[in-house]
Amino acid sequence: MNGADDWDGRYTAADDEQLLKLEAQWRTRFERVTVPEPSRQDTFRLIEVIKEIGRLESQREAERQEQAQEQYQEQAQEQAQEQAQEQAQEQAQEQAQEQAKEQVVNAASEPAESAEGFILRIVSLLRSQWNFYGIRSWLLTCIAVGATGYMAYNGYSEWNTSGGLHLWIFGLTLVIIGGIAAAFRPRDEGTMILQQLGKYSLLEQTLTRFLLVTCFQLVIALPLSLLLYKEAFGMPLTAFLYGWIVPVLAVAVCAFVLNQWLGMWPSAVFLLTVWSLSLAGSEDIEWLQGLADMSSPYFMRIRAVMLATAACLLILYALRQRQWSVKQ
Amino acid sequence: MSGLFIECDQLVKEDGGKRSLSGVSATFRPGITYLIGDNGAGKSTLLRLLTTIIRPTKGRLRFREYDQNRSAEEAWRDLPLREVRQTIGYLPQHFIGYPEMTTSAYLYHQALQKGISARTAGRELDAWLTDASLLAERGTKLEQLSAGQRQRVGLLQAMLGNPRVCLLDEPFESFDIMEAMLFRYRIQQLARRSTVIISTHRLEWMDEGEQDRVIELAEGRIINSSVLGN
Repeated sequence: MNGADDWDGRYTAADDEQLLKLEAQWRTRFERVTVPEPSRQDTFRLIEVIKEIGRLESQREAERQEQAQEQYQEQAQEQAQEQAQEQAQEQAQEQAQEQAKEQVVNAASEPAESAEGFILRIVSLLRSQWNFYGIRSWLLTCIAVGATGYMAYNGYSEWNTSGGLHLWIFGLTLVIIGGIAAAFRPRDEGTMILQQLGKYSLLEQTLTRFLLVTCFQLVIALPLSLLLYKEAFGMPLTAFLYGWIVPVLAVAVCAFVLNQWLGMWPSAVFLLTVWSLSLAGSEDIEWLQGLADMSSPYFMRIRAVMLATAACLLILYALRQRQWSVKQ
Repeated sequence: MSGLFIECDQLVKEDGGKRSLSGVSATFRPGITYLIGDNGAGKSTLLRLLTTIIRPTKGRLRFREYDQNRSAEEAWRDLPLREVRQTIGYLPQHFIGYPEMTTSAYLYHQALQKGISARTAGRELDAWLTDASLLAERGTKLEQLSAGQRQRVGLLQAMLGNPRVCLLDEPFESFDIMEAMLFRYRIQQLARRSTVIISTHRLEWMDEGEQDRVIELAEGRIINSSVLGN
């Protein structure tokens, strides 16, 4: 349609057609979209926020560009021994610009470093899981380890030292594993999905948590048990370490594998049942006394069985994982 | 890195005898695609399947990338499952996260999970929080945040690291007009280089970008699919 000045007061068929088209377009738009009208203040605030974001991004971009330029200049200096300084500067500028461009495209955060090394990957994974549990929780767990160790020692040392040690080593390992598993449990399906999206698979995450728990046990609880129990047993240090470390490792491996196969709660119930039965039966069944009593002839054998069971479970688990991956 | 092409082929999802998706076939491209439909139409189920964590009862999903710098025969590449999972950002319908974690601890953890280096995450954390107007809540536990604030944290974590595929389930729920406009702007920016799929029943927040698409679902089936600009 022409402007108002050119209009001769008569509608043509083409005008009608265009009006009908416009009407249809606006009708569709109104029927489909009813955008709430932002107030004038809303609009000004939004503009301010977007300006602020733009300002922050340009600031970050400038910082990145500066960093990139510095990085390149360092590299360029090393290479520039044979090349003319002018060429190096040109390259530096080009590369810095490219790097800056890439970083701008990546906006607020850089994407996963794809070419990172194995060690860096492990460190990042450990850091992520350590950070998840939080320093406060780790400290509280330390205090709990100390308190329960002392209580077990006081409660049992007078009449059954080996029982106290047994209670502490096995029970505490299970309690810590249970506590950490509970802390990491996803509360709903959405969180469960989020937990599995990302750089590290759920398997890697779970394995790292168990590793952390085991190391934590060895670093915190082992020295404490040396202080509390060694005197009571009067045993050689190597035997004590063997007697201590094997059950912790075996329980951690069993908990990990069962957790993967059965889920958190069934495996926790299973392990607690086995532990309670072994504790209850250690008075009457001779070989069960070997779990904690170093003077028992079964002490070494039962630990060898524990190690063998843990190794078998791990191998079986790895084989099943492999088969599953092939099917995938 | 650009967005991925996602091909769904006859996706069926049954839960306890109830069929929530009945043979959905669609291709999602880089840019924004809106999933609309009534409650129970299957929007959230489809998004959950697209995360690849929940498996379909039947059907197939393919994640493909197109590299124009390669020859025509090698330009298309199917991404393996593990790689796909590293490229997806997801906002669940009712985002909870880990209620006892503080906002900053949660975002830091999510950043590390997505492979962002600890140094970068530490350096950028305040900037992310500022962008989402959450700086004042950095030490607040997620359970103590208001619904809108928690939703902002959810959206922020979904968009961290600029995922190549971003699945957002009702992203503007619990938002006031300002928050919704701000995040719509952010999502539009992300969609320039990612495949963004938004499930929504608030049609007023749909853009009418030239290339944005809309897929309408009803009773677990696609009943309409079109480009919004048309």
